[in-house]
Amino acid sequence: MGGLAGVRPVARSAGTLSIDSRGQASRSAIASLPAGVTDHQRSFSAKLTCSPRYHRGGVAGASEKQSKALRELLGLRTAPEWHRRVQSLDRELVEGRRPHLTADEYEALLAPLIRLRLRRALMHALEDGVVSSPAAAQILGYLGHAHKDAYLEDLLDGGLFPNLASPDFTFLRDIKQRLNLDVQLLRSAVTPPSG
Amino acid sequence: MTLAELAMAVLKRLRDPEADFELQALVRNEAESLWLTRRGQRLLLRVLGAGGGELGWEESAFRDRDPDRVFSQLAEGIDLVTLFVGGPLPDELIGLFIPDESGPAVRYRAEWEAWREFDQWLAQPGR
Repeated sequence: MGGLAGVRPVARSAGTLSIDSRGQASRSAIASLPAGVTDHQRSFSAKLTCSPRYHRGGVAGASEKQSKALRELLGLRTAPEWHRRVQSLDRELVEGRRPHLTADEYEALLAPLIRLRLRRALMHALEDGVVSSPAAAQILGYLGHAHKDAYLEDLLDGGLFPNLASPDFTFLRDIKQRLNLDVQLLRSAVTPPSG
Repeated sequence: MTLAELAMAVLKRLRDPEADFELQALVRNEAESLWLTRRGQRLLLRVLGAGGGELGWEESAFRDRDPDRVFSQLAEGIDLVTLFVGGPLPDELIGLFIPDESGPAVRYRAEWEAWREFDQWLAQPGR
């Protein structure tokens, strides 16, 4: 894939979370979400979220062709994302309700839930025109011709994609901040095992 | 049943010879899933990896199958078939298809829990 600056194939052993025999998910990318978000960062994140087309300061947006390809690719959910419990937890988060889940559910469902929410956030970013052309190329390059261990959430992994820190990926850093809040909320909502 | 025959049967059932659609098949004990997309006259068969990446056929779990007949060949192993269409839908299909917002645009989705059930639906004469 020429021209995909920053794509760095890395051989690694992704941890496996399974919700059923079909479901696997990347632990490494979820683990790469920041461990803690301060109130200051939350406020900064909120500001970023509210700023329309905030990254359009000389950063080229995704081309029509890239947008179309990305829209198609993002529309293809993986099997675990269809899991009813994943969908109900997602709905609770969308509606601002506090989810309740067991430790086992947290372990098994976190990765597909984050993947589902990342997928939607990326689609919104695309619709809002804030996905840069280099970012679109990178996402398409990584997922479009993927190896078996490629996970959508790998896109949040600064270790895999060092250019995540560049202005082209401002939208993705913003998404990552919001997903980190989701992870914190879900972690705090886990019902401790009785007895 | 070849991919073209499958697409033709879906279009007949939708009573729209030009409909675009997406069909996802989940295979028992398999993390990868099959997607058949119809856009205009073009049919595209894709394998989606466990994490959402698109896999080459040769790298996929289905590499030993004939891609043109993969759905029929896997029929017994398919335990969920999901069909996405953009609409509008014939009256008799409203109810079977429910609104779905999982994709880039609002579309409709219907599910069958076995290939056999889907195949039976395909074979039903439209009203």
